[in-house]
Amino acid sequence: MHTTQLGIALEANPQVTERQLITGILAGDRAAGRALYEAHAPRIYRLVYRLAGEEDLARDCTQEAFIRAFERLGDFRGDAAFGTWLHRIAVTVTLNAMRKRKRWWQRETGLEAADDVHAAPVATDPELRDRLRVAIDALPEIYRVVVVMHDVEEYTHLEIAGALGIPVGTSKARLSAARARLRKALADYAKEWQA
Amino acid sequence: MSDERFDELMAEAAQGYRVPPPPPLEAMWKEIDRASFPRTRRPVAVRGAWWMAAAFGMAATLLIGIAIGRITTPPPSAVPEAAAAYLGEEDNGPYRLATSRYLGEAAALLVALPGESPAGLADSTLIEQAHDLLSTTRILLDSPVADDPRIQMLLRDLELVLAQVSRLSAPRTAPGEMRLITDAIEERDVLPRLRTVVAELPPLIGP
Repeated sequence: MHTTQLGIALEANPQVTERQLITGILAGDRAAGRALYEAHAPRIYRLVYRLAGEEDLARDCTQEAFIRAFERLGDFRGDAAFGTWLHRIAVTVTLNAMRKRKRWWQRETGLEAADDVHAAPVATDPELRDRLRVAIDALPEIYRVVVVMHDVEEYTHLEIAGALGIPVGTSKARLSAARARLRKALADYAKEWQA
Repeated sequence: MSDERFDELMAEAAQGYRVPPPPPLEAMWKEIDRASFPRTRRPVAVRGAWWMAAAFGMAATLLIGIAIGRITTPPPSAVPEAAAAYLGEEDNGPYRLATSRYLGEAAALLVALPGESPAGLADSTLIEQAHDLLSTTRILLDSPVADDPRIQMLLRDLELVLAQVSRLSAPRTAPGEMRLITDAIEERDVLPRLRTVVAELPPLIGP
């Protein structure tokens, strides 16, 4: 019901800005929270899912990112766009959750088995595209995040830099290094590329 | 290996890389809402012929309390919100007066609204009053008072609620209609926000 009301309110007043919504949330306005959520949640969820690769984890991390953002909204100074700030929270939450999950999984199965998981499909998968996807999965975290954001979700280096809290040059350098690793991973198929 | 071929391959791989399902927006919002916006208590529904007088009495007491506080204590050194900045200017006395009066009447009306009522308790006086307040809301929305985002959002919410109330048909309302209105008031925290704005308005009587 409040979605409809919100729709009417926004339609009646299209000048409502993100800053006004933030002011509303700080005053405890649930509808303002909902509006800000609706504006950002689809893109945040997409990115989180691409990083996490699991529906449950993506849902939990997206929720957690918004809950933390609303909790700390009083600290948001507006130096960067709200979306950039939210992305930084979302990426941090997701990477932490993935690390926790990985540690738990490694404890349960043993480190050697964990390494095998990435190696095995690469050797057996005949499809070049699938091989590349597996190679992306196997990239170190700092590279994979940039590849996913830039090449998969088409964020600009400026957006990536803002979301990860790194200089634009570092984002470019990481993408370049990631691509070099991917090429190396696909070295066996060099002949196909040249064909 | 050519760069073009590699880019092509990357684009193809990216297209099918962990394709996200449609986001479960409603389910996620429920959790976020629960954690971030704790529920406020629904106003107690007062029924019968005496409920309106009682509700108006409570609202009047609240406003008188605020007014006494204003007269007996010096005004704060800084008005807490930009909300009051415009209304605090000397030339804007009429707007100040109209806004204070309007917010007081709106608070009284919202408190007076009966809660869930299977029989329907719409009162023709209440509906008439909502209609009048709706006109005032629209005037205020077109005035400089609405330049403040918080007041503007509050006025927008009040406009929706008052429009719903003014469309009720006395003496009986359709089942659940009143409930929808009181739910909207609760979900959007209209009463607490209204009280906050009233409390932060500059005093009508100078120091």
